[in-house]
Amino acid sequence: MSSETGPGSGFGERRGEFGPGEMPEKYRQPEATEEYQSLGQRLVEGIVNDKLALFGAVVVVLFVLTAAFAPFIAPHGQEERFGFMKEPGENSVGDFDGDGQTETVFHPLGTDSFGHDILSRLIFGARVSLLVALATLAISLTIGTGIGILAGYYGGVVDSLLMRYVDFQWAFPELILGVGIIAISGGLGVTNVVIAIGIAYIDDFARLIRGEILSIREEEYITAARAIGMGDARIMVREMLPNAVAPIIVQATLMIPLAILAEAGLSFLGLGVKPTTPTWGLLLSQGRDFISQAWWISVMPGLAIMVVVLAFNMFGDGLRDAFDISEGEVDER
Amino acid sequence: MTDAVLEVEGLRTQFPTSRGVVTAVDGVDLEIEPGEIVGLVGESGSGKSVLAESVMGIVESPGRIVDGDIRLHGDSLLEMTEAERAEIRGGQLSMIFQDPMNSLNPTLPVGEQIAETIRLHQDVGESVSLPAELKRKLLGATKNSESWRRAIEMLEAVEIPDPAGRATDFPHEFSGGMRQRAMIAMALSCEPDLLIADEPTTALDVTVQAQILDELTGLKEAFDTSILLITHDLAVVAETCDRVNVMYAGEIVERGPARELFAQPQHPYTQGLIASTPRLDSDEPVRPIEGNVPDLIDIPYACHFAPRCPESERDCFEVEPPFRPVGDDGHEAACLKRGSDPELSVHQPAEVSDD
Repeated sequence: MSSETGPGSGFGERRGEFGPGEMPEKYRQPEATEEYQSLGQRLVEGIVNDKLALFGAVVVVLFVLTAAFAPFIAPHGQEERFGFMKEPGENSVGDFDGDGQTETVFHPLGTDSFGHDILSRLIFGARVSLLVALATLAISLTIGTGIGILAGYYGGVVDSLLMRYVDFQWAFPELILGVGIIAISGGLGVTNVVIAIGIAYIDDFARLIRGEILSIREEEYITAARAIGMGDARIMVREMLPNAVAPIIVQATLMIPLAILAEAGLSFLGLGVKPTTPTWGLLLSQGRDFISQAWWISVMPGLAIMVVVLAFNMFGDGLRDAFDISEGEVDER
Repeated sequence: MTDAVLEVEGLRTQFPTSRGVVTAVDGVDLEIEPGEIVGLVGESGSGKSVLAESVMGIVESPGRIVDGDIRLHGDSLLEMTEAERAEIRGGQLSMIFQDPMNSLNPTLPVGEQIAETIRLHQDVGESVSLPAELKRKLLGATKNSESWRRAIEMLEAVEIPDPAGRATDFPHEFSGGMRQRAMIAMALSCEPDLLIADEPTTALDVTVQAQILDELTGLKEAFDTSILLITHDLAVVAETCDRVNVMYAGEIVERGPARELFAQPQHPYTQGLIASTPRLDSDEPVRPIEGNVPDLIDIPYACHFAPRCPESERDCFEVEPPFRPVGDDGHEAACLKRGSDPELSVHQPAEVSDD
């Protein structure tokens, strides 16, 4: 073929057969096109290809399912009592359901000082932990995002005032702030814990969103939105917020484990929920007195906290990477 | 005079900075008649965009208009409340921007953005409150609405193929030229009296540029709107505009009918600008204007072009140059050395007495 090319012998022989723009069949190549992927597809692919993130996602899903279906999954009720301080894998033998017969009950994670089955307590505790984490998230996300948008959009005095408050809160340890808020609101209980932790984590969201809004407000489509006569509130909600949603989602995923830890910390200190409610922090705390005789009472909830927190963090990191890639792709076009 | 769509009088827009006050627009007069395309030409940094933003009322803080007046159909825009101005923006006055890549919101479908503009400014019986928008979105009722139907009509008017199908696409699924068309559709959707086009073709390649300009001139007729075309591209102005204003360092230095102004540029800056544009039909070397645009902080001298002007002398630095006729049909230049004596031929610069 190489000797045939160029204006040598045979040049022009084909004239008339192929007009301009026509091409012999054998030179045809399939057009190279990049397949369009929606954001959802890109996220799923990003998570699936990232082994750590996938592990995180699986554990997170299991955790949520466990919390949702706790009564069906847990082998025993949260208040049922068996033999005291059975080691993991041991059986308690005795009449526990009051029918006059002796049963053998298997405890994969052992029992605590009251004879509660630790596995069952952990499963029910997942409910409280998840509930507290989500409610906390809702509070800090709403207020934090609100502060961040207002500060970033209006700038000037509004920005200074709001961000000085956020700085003040940022300089203050979250747990201490939580303890303070519980002390002021008075009394234990899930609601107070949620409010305390929720307020304590406002600053993270406010700073993140403010930074994001500061860069978005310089975009030309915001000027364009003003040029077609949109009001401030409309620009903030319809134009800016949807463009800042990726970092909000990532921050929310990373915030959940912090909330779980904070709840565990407060419960451990005895400032959390009521002592009879099974939460992971409280279970851990109750095992503290028996740590030399029955290590599993504290260690099992500790492990559960560790695994879930780790999983949420890995999942969040994976999400962040997936979002970053997608933003880079959009810019390239 | 009074039937002008837009009159700008002695407009001065300043930006306080840490080094001093930048006067980006320094006493500009401008007038746009109905159905006219007026060009505004000048180098980067000459204040063209700030002038446009001043007219739209979207000058970024801390910039502000310190002097002068802007009138739309004789009503002063500067005396209106913010709510009244918002009503006018996008309604009677609209604007398209330089970079079509960034002037559409990446998170909303193109059709939805046009429909929203229509809902905001035209009475189509659809609420624009945020809860109503949310409800519309969740119920998917957008596509049955009057505003959506009109948005598709607008996309069709700017010659986007398959407008009904493309209206649901997001901006990143549009090419650069299509995005600019969509922006034009959005800007014209409320049939404005004046469309400000701030370098609408700068970010596009030459073939698309020509299409967009054709489109603009065609739509100008169809929608009966005036256009203020801002650009640094002389060829674009020569091709499309009826009248031209040449801007330098915050001031307008020469204005007149496009044909005449390009055939016989009078102000030394305009002459330099045209001489520095490469031409295919002549072998003359391109002559750049020496020097740079001055720092706009506290310019001490009267004629802002004086330091770079090949003809400047002492008076140029001290006497504010008035606009004087230098040709037919209102061709005027603000230069001490031009048209000082009506007897003098416009083709010969006025000689100085001691020369």
